[in-house]
Amino acid sequence: MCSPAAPARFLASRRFKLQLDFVSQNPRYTHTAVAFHWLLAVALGGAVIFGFYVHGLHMSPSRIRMVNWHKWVGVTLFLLVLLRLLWRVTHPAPPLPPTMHPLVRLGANLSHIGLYFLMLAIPVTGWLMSSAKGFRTVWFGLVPLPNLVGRDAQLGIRLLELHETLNWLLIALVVLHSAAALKHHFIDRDDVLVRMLPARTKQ
Amino acid sequence: MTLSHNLWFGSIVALAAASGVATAADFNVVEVTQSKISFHYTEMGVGIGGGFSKFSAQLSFDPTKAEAAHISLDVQLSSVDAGAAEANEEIPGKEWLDTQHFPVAHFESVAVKSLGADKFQVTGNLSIKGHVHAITVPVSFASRVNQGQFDGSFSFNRIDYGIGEGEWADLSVIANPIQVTFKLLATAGK
Repeated sequence: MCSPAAPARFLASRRFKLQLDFVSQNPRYTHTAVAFHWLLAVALGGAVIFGFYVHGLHMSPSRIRMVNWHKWVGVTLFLLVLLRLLWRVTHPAPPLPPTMHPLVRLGANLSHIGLYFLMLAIPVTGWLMSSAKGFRTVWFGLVPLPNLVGRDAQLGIRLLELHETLNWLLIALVVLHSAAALKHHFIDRDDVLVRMLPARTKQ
Repeated sequence: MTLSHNLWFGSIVALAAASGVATAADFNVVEVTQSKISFHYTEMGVGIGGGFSKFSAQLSFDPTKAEAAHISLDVQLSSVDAGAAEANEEIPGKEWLDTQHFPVAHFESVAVKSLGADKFQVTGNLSIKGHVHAITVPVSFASRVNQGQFDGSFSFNRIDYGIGEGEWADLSVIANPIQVTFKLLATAGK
């Protein structure tokens, strides 16, 4: 893809200097934001995979146990996402590199809004679905959540479909998000990916 | 029951007694459409309610001669609503109610005892899925002229009746006690 001279040319370019200035002037994400990002990436990924797995199982006591754990984890993740959103609102993300095209920048912002929306909407649809199917959600068997909708088998089926569709959308957005991060790192060679990695050295 | 209801009912009884009309009436027709049999169980700490829509009863109950009362109740198990579509798919199966081999749950009273103040204690045999056990059910009774209402509640352990066998015998998922609540409306037939 690149000629042998390409890296040298890149290091000498105005674009690289602009990025160096940008990196030196702009902070990374806060440690808390980085921790939230990776914790939720792993936990949400696990909950999504676990959800699809449990959905495919035949009815059994262990399936019921797993479904309940999935709900409890979902409620916990919903609360963590709320905390994360609160953190994000009070601690603005570092700006995007100035080299980014305005449309790409818009795309990045929209996809982040989409990710936050899905991280909140997915557990909410799960909660509503549980109510519609006739099962109140009781967090860890201890804290009962209100039933926002009454028992309605048809609504339960529609909410299950919605829950599933939103999960596929989340998977698609996460793939896009990861691809964009890798593009920033390996093609644009900016700090967009690095600033979300756990800090190796003191800032 | 509210205090005013009690007073109202008390005054009717007093009036009837004063006018020399016998308060004795044999309540012997159960109005199934106005009666209700429901149950409650817990699944991993989550309370779930269900019920039966089809049942029939033979009743003979005179509040002044409670000891002579008798009730026989048949519940069509295929009419069960276990509180959720998933549960309704499972419950007719062999490990649960096995409705194909045991379509009816039956209760037959053996003795009725008056506990005073419109409270009675009914003992009898409950048979479900080929298992028979004696149960004791506290019942309250209220009547207005020609209509009487019985309210009661009791609980049994599902394992005693083989409800939820095999892997479902795991009581940490679906708990053992099943709470049954009923309202039976009866009229005094001619």
